[in-house]
Amino acid sequence: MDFAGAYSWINIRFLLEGLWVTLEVAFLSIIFSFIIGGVLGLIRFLDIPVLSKAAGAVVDLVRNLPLLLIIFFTYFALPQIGIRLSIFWAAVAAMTIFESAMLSEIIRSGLTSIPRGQIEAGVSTGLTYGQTMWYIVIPQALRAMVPPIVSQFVALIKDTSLAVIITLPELTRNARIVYGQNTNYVIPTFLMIAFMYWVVCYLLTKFSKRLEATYN
Amino acid sequence: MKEIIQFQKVNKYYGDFHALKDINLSFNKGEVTVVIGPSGSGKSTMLRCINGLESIDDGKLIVNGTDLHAKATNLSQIRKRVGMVFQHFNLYPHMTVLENVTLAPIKVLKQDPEEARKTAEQLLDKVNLLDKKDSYPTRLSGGQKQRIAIARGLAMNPEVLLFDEPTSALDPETIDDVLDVMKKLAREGMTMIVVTHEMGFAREVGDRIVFMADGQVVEDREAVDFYENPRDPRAKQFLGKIISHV
Repeated sequence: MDFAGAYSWINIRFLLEGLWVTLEVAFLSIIFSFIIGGVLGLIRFLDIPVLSKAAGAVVDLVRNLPLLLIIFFTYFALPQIGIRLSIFWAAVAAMTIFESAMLSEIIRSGLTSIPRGQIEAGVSTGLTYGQTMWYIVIPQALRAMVPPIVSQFVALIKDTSLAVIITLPELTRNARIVYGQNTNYVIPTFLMIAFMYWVVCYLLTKFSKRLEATYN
Repeated sequence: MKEIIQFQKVNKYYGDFHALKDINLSFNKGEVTVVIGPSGSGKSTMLRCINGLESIDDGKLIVNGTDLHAKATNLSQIRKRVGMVFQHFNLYPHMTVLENVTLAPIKVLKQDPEEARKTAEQLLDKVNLLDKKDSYPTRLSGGQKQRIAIARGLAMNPEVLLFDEPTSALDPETIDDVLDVMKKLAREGMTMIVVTHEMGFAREVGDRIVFMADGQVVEDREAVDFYENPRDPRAKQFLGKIISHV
């Protein structure tokens, strides 16, 4: 084991670059999934005849596929039908598809958790259904959603390591390159990336707990 | 007296259950009507039809000159003239008391926020809760919440205020504060339709009693007349039970 060699500035910088890509992919994906998942969740919540059922079917399909398969799909299958994405965007697309399905469930159940009486109170004062959702239901639902969304984000950061399979230069991939130079680097490198994943995810979880505490 | 709400042969079903049977009723401006009857008799359902929280299946329901059942009817237009106070208050927990009261005036009536705040403060003063204007509802007792809910209803300056068992979810010691506010409104000439079990209130300020049972209006009479001489056996039995409980 060669800790000093493994932790040379060049190696650490390379790992940090990987961590940055991991965070970029995770962050972009969570933003896109929040928008798409929000729309899907709202459609399912509103119980629109055909549309809600269709949205439900898509969500159920995606939720029951392995993420790895979706990554293969966006990187290897999409080019076959003429959609060519870079490694980076193929990873973001795969994560977004997967997370949108997860977030739509969180968002739907967050909306459902608001008592019916809140909607009745809103519309009974003359607010439209849309205004009632916007001013009364959604703000309350968002508070209920913050903790599950953050834990989904944490899961997403960890899942990003699956994109190593399409050689996305994220943290796990860069670690492989580092210990590829020298077998004495294997354990130190694994310890270092474990530490990096842990710090990021732990801080996020702490942040979510604090948010929760302020709301209550 | 001017009729502001009219039920004409209104029927409502929940699946196979016939919740409202051929309801004919009218409510007059400035009158306090107390709706009583055993649970499951359709009182709340009838009340909730008036502002369209429940739809009717058959018949005609005219509120403030508008046919509620007609396709073109904009429910929001009706609802801003018809306030409602719920059994479980339904205050918005993420807003302060003042925000609860001013939300609809600002968003629906497009009142200037400053003007809405002034009106809200007057109303909060009227229900004796001006000192709670910056509190959040979770910090308040049930009776306080219900008085805020009344202020919220009044803030829209409605033609009529509906009360759906406003004291049923309250601790006994806070009921009187709510009833006092309601009595004050009644005396000021507010048009009120109150579904309640509070017979003391009904006796003191009710102009008219509507007694419902099994989805039907069984009695609909002047209050004094009703107490002294209930005609229907179900009404007699109901009154007998309530009075023996008091």
